[in-house]
Amino acid sequence: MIDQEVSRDVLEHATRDIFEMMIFMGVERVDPTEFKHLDGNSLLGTITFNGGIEGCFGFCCSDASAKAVAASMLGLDPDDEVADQDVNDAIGEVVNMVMGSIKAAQSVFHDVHVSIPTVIRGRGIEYHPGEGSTGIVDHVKIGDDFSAELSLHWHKHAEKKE
Amino acid sequence: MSKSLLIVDDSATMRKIIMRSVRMSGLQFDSTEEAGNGVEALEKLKASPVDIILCDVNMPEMNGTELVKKVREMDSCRDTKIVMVSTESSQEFIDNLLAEGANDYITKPFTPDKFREKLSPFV
Ligand SMILES: [Mg+2]
Repeated sequence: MIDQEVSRDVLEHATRDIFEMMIFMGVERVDPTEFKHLDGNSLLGTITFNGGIEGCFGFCCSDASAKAVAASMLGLDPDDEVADQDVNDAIGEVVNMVMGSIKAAQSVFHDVHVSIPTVIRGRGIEYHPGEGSTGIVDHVKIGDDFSAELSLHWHKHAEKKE
Repeated sequence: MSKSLLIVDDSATMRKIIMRSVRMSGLQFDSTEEAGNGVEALEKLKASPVDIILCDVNMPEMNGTELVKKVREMDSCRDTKIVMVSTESSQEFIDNLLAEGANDYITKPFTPDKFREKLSPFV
């Protein structure tokens, strides 16, 4: 069984640790009503997992947020030009690390096999969990000016196997 | 004494981040090389062995575990220290890597301090 509240806490702590330790930016959970929805270009990083349980973790943010995260991760100035590939790689690494922390923190995830992250970019990209899945969606503020949507979903049928 | 470092990771961005953390840790190396997977790393090691390898686990072509095995078969790398860097943090997984011949392990996310702690015994 996956406890949704536990998952929410794990997700929040993992994201905060990663951003503080490696990106040097603060992360704070915000109410969905305060979340600025993405209308321009955005990035979606996803990683799937399967085994005892199967599902997907997604990190979606604006192009500007992703650039700021990548610049900070690489130790560049916020105004420096960051290559698209570096931005994709940085978001992929964030997704990979969050998934690693989820895996370590909850026993139900211990034996899952985790895929290599995929990052896509475009206008109006949104994360859609598959049919019949359940999970959590969280919104976070990154630093003062940026934000992201975090989603962790798993298939109900897989959960029953536990 | 002069020390050389090889950073092996399939993500060029992660290699830059590791490089940055090593620099911030205050440790100094005379030469730092990079490789994008195990195959590339072996080619570099055959040409010139290094003192320390920082090695990712999940990589295409040849992953970190296979690379550790191969390096341990190389006479020229008998004294090379291998420190793995990965998000995978289960004790069983780490023990297995150490049994294959890795010398230590750093879990992502990491801080520069972690690199100082894990690498200073080898420099
Ligand atoms: Mg990798």
